[in-house]
Amino acid sequence: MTRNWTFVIAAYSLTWAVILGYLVRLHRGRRRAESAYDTAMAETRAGDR
Amino acid sequence: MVVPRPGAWRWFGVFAFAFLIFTQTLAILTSPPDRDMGDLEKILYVHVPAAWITFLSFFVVLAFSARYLWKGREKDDLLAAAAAEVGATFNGLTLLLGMIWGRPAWGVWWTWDARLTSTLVLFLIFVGYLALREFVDDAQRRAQWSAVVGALGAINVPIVYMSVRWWRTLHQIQSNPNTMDPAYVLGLRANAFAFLFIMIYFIHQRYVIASLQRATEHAAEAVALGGQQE
Repeated sequence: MTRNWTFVIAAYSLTWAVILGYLVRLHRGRRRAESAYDTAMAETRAGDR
Repeated sequence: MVVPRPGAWRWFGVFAFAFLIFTQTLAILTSPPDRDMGDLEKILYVHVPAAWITFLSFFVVLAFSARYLWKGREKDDLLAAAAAEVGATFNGLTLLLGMIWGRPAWGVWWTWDARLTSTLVLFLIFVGYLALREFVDDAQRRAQWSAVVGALGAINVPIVYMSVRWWRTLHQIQSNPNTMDPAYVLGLRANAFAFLFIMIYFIHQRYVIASLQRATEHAAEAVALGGQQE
C-alpha cells in the first residue's frame, strides 16, 4: 500500500464519519422534537378542558 | 402549523445512502491512478461533490431567505435554516478533505491561499448564522436577522468559486468535464448526484425537526395565553 492510499482511506473514512454522524444527530433531534411536540400538545389539550 | 410526516422520505433516504455507496465503489474501482497524483485523485470524488453541495446549500439559503424577506412565511425561514446547517456541515467536510488532499499534494495541511481562506470565511459566516439563531429567542426577529445574514453570506459563494481565477492560488482552477480526463468524469458526476440526494434528504429531515420545534413553541405559547391551539 502506497503512502497515498493512507490519505485516500482517511478522506473516505472522514466523509462517512461526518455523513453518518450528522444522520445520527438528525434522527436523535427528530425523536426529541417529536417527544417535545407530543408533550406540548397534551398540555394544550389538558388546558382546553 | 402543519408538521411534515416521514412518508416516502424514509425510502428516499435509504435510496440516497445506497446510491452513495454504489457511486463511491464505482469511482474507486473504475478510475485509473492519475499520472502525477497517483491514487490520490480518488479524493476528488468526495472533496469536489462536498464543495459543490456546500455551494448549492448556500444558494438554497439565499433563495429561501430572500423569499422570507419578501413574503414573511415561517416555512421559508425554517427551510433556509435547515439548508444553512447542512451547508455548513458539508463546508466543514470540504475544508477537512482539502487538508487531507493538500498534505501529500502540496506538502502542507493548510496555507492561507485565496480559495482556502475564502472557503474558511464562508464556513465561519454560516457558523455565525447558526449561532445567531440559537441566541435570539424572538422567532420573528430571529427569522429576519438570519435571513439577512444568510443572504449576505451566500453572496460569498461566487467569490469562493471564482477565487482561483481572480487571485494567484495554489489551488487548481475549477474541475469540469472539459478539464478532466474522461476516465474520471463518470465517477465525479455520479458522486455529485449521490451527494445531491444526501443533501436533499438532510435538508428535509432538518426542516421537519425545525417545524416540530416551531409547532411546540406555538403550542407552549397557546398554553401560556390560555388560548386554543390552531
